[in-house]
Amino acid sequence: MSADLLNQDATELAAAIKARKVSSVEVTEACLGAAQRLQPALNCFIRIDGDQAIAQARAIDAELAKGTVRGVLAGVPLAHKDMYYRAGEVTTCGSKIRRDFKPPVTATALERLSTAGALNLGTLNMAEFAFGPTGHNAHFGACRNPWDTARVTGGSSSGSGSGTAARIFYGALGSDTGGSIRLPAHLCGLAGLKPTWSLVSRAGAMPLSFTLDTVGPLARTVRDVALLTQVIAGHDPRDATSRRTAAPDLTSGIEGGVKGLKIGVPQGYFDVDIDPEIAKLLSDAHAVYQKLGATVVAVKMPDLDEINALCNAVILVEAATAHGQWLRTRPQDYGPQVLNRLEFGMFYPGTAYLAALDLRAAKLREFDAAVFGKVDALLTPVVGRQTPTIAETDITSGPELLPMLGSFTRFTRPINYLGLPGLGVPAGFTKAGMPCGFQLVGKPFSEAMLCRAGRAYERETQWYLKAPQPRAHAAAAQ
Amino acid sequence: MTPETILDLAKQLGVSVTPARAKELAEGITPTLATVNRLPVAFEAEPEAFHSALEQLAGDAR
Repeated sequence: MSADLLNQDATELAAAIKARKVSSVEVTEACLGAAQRLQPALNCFIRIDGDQAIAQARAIDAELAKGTVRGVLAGVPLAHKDMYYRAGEVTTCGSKIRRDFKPPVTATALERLSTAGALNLGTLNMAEFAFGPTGHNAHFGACRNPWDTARVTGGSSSGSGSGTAARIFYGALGSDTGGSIRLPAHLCGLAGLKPTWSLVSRAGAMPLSFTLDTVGPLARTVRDVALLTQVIAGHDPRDATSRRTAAPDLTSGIEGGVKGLKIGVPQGYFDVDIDPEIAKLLSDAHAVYQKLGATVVAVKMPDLDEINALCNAVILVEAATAHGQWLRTRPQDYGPQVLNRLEFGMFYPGTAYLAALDLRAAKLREFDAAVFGKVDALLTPVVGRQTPTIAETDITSGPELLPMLGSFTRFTRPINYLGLPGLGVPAGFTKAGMPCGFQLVGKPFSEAMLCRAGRAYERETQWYLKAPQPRAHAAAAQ
Repeated sequence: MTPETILDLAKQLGVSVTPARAKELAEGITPTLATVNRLPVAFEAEPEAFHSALEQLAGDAR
């Protein structure tokens, strides 16, 4: 019974709870059982808030008994990356420096999820200050991939990927500044949406790079990430950068299919240094889209190495600025990899940083004309290499560090600079049994179309039905 | 960007950087700067134009 419950997606579970086929308490107890059982192998939580979650579940069940449905996520257990502030509760940001930090405010995204009736199981492991693409954490330990606990989860939303994939909770907030939602989604076999910049409020979310940071969900299905994004999106007066429109409807048209859509296959940049197995899975995805009635079209890419460099200048300078006080006074309290990267940002000339900001609009227009003048969505790899082990990527300094980091973020980071939405979609498994996904990129605020395209693919392929068996790998974690 | 420049800046910023680390930092920053510096920035360019571009190119009606 527990396994059946835990294998549902959030959309299905919410309907079952609403219809009172299952109680929220029953589901939450099953989730907490999974959390206790799997945490030693996965290390996906920083803190488990079991009593609080059960109390929330009881309140939801009591409301349902009286005929009241709080919202579209009533009774659904989630958990979130430990960088979303909840007033008065410790939010570590995956760091030693904020190990005891109690914020005075609650993040808008958390408030909106609570209003929709979602429960919170605890806080999740993450890269220190969300500044790392692998899932390593020098303070709380590496988070482990439930498909093989010796391998990386991807980061920085490592616990969000690991715990959602392991069927401990039904979805999680991540954050994405250079790929931090799409990377763990790809490496853990999940859907993940990096929304268009400004669509989702960042109020009460730890900043890394205010020009590039976005808030979004990871979940087992595209229809779940559509639902979660719809709940958290929409204007927020607490975030001066948030778009002044209501939340978009991402769910009502999601089953509409892809007939007539043009899907772009990149020529250049995204087809360089791709592992042959990953290239084959992407090619299979093209064939699925053709079968579903989409047209697949080759599209020549503009110079994305330039965009990568511009993105680098922005993220490094903004991160170093935000961390300036601690870089001066507490450098010893950072993990070595994070300190190493933060230091770069202190030495960029102001003119280079401002040039990178000034060029953003022009580069977006160039990309839009080159790509979306020809296709509705671009289908790209997320990572070009096979999933490495935690040990293989435990590099903290030296000449191998930057190329290693770049091998993860090469295909995701340009999308942050351009501010575009990127939807990660599970696309099958390698011979090693590790998940692989692809990224669908669309025009600004085209999330509804992206979710419809992702949903069409997942409905046809149903990769999301395959669940990891992390207990079988638990010995590797010891 | 030279290691010497980085050492000078580090002193002004109040952060500790060894000469060997200054060399690493310079080697990491220089290629990015070379790319950024060769891209022409329009005289009238301003960062806020990005927000207008997002709205003008919005694809949410599709």
